[in-house]
Amino acid sequence: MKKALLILAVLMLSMSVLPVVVAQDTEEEEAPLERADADFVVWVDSNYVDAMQEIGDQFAADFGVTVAVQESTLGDVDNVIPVAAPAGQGPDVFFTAHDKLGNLVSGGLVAPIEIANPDGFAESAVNAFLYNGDFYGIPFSIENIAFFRNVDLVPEAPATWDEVVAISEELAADNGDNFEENSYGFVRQGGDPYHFFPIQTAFGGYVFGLTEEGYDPTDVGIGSEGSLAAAEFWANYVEEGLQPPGVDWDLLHAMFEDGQAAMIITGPWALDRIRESGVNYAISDLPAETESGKPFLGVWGFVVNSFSEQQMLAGIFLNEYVATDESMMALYEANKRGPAWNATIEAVDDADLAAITSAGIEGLAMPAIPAMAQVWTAWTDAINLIQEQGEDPDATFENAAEQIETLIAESQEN
Amino acid sequence: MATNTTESRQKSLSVFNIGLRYLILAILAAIGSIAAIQLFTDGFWQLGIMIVVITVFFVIIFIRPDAEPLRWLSPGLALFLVFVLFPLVSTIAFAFTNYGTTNGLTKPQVIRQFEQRRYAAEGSLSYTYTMFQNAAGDIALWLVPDGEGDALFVSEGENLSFQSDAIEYDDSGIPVEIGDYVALNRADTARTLQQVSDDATFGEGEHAVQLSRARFGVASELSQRYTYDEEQDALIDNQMGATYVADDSVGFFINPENAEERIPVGYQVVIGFRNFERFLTSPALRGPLVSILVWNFTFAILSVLFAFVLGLIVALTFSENTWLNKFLKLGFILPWTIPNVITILIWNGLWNPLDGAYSKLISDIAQFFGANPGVGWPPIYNDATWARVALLVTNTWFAFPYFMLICSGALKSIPSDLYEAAMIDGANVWQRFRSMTLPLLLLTVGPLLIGSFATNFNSFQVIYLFNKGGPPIVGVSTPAGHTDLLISYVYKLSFGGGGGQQEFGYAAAITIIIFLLLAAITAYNLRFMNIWEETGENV
Repeated sequence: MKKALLILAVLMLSMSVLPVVVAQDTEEEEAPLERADADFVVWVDSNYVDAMQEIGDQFAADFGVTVAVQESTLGDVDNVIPVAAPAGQGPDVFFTAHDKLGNLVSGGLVAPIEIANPDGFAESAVNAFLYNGDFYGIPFSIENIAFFRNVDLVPEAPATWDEVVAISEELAADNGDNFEENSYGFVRQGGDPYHFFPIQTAFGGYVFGLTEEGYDPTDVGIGSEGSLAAAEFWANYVEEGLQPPGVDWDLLHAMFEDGQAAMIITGPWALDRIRESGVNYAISDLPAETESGKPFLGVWGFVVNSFSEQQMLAGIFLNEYVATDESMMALYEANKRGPAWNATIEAVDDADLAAITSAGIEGLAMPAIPAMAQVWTAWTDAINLIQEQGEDPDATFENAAEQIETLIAESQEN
Repeated sequence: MATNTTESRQKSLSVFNIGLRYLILAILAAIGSIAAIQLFTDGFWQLGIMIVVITVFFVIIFIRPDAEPLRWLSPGLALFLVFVLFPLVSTIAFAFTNYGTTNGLTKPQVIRQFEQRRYAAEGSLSYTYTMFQNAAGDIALWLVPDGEGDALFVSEGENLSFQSDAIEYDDSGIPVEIGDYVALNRADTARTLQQVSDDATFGEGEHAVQLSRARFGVASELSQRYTYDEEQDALIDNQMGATYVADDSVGFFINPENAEERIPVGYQVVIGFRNFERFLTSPALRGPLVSILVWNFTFAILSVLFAFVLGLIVALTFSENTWLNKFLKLGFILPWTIPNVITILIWNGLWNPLDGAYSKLISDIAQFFGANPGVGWPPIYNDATWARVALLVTNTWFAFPYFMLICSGALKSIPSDLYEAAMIDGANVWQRFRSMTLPLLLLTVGPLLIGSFATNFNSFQVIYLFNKGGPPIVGVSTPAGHTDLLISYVYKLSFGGGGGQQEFGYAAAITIIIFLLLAAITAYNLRFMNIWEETGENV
């Protein structure tokens, strides 16, 4: 009896704590985004809200509908859209990064659309929104990484990785045991396959084989000859002491801004802080070796919610109001990332951005196929193992390829 | 006389009381019903049922006098049902479904969505339309084909007749009026467009058209791409001439001739124990599971042990009730009050082998003893032992204030006359601690130690923020790290470290398996320590 009482007491005690806990939880978490009360609703990243509202206002005036543009994030595409859209609470049009397309299409959350003027866009951008033979989005910006160098230390952009090694060896010649007093040539952060990919492609490596129908999940290229060559190259570079251990994103950029690292690979999102630091920098194409160095392309675009009651208006809005010279320019002005609209690409007045766009001309769209999710962890581990732990590059990358193949096979059985 | 008045007042008061009670109950029932109806219409029928059950339960116990003892428990029980039992039951229910990114919709939703798809068949025509409207608000279209051909005049579902020589045309050859239909200008057309349903078909026969979903002012001869055939329970692809039969055991429409080919969008179905089977046969369990489990237990046990010992030492050291001690204790509580999402990032900075303060300190000590460690030493993030030690130190720092608080309180509850008696018997400090303080303390703190063990066993947040389970283990069949716990390892494998497909059904099954594991360990621990029984007898 005493025992039962005790258990009951504990139960009641935990009950009394519960409401408090629940109340705290709801306070901490922001309420999920809800569809605004309007005929036509657009969800877009905060940087573009004002520009889109202006485009939307024009559309509203012409078509006699009310248009609301709401601030949203890529996280909402993962977490809010799958719940809100089938319940009829989703937007009519929302922005996404193209590599989420695999999930959106297989979840039945986006409707195929007709692109009225596909020639108006950069080919890589419009193809990024091609999935299973249908177009799903109107692209508006392309993001990719490029090669940044400190002009005071490296006056001429190196064209090949061999040249990068030569410059790095020279700069790091007098290095000792004190990190702060050392200087380095090319430096990269640990792991991070996204920034390693241009090195891998320069040696002929790849992630998934590219066929006419898109990326082939049965052809994993992490263990291919080119990828192994890149891994060997990088293992040698690390062994020579040219790459300090344990560098993360922040430290890497701090090193570049202080002149401690002469060359890095980074993207347009770092431009602001690099400019602010006053370092004398220049941007160029990614170094080549046996092939050109290709970065991943991340394309942002607008897609149509398949549960929208306004499919026709959505298509007209995107084709006739967003895919225009003025609108694309306004979106570019709102957030200076590489444009996807040819006329805007030609009109870019920012030399840095033009240089970054040039580095991405041969870039490869980040695979949107679901199998890509199985790649990241094993690939990251493999790069870490050779860069930070000095493991054998061939064995490590071959093992990573096996890991990825196992996981893809498992995920496709189900 | 006086007593009579009091009695009647009491009577009227109790009538008033009962009335008030019924009123409150009625309001409660109304709120419950509204909430339930709202939940039903939003599709959350499980939660709706729960609200109905709770409302009925409330009404019964407040009406039946013999249920009075339950009234005091009712708020707690209701909250227990909604916030504890409901999530548990949902998780268990999810575990038997294929609910996830590819199977998030219901079958009717998938069918409806595919029936809306259109395609332009070969040789189909495209038209430029002018919209007409009559006084009744009916809409008609004047269609001029792109290329050769005669103009058509159509309304929804039928071809309208007109006499081309009896109509007045404007400069561009478009009629101004046909019968009681009047042509709209471009701006008016745009404003009327919202009244046209997305699926509206104008005209009839082979030249039936739909408004373009890409260009304003354009209509095209489009055909329905997929039709649902109820008899076969299949979606038929009219463009490609393929049939996809619904397979309710997997939740997909599949081409019976080639199982690889299917409609990419799946639907939710109950799949029985297949999620459990999948986990128990997954490559994850053929991978480095043993070494991960060993580390998982080591991590949980050592985290609790270190936090408890450090907490106890601090509590004993600063047990005297002076203002300085109070102030110091306040400082010690701080690590516990700051969310560890933030503090782990700060610790990451402190441990950074290149510019972190602690790493620098360790490296300086090594140099003092004549070692020459070189750049990037100690390899906190890249060496299994260093990473584990650093992780345990960090985790201890988060957790010790909790045990300091608990121990401070528990120490105060040990009667001081016991110590006096012990001192008279000649027991020294260590003996007093060993045979009195520790056993009496463990009586109170024991269950908390076990609870803390369970929390640390699944300490996903700390592991993931610290180093994502790294450094990686060399040459394993599935990607895994030296500091990975079972939960972070499974997360990385099943969800590709985020950004991949969200398979809620599968995740729920894994959660249940891990829960069972943890429940077994906890039950064993409790039994082993005999804490419930001992404490129970002392109450």
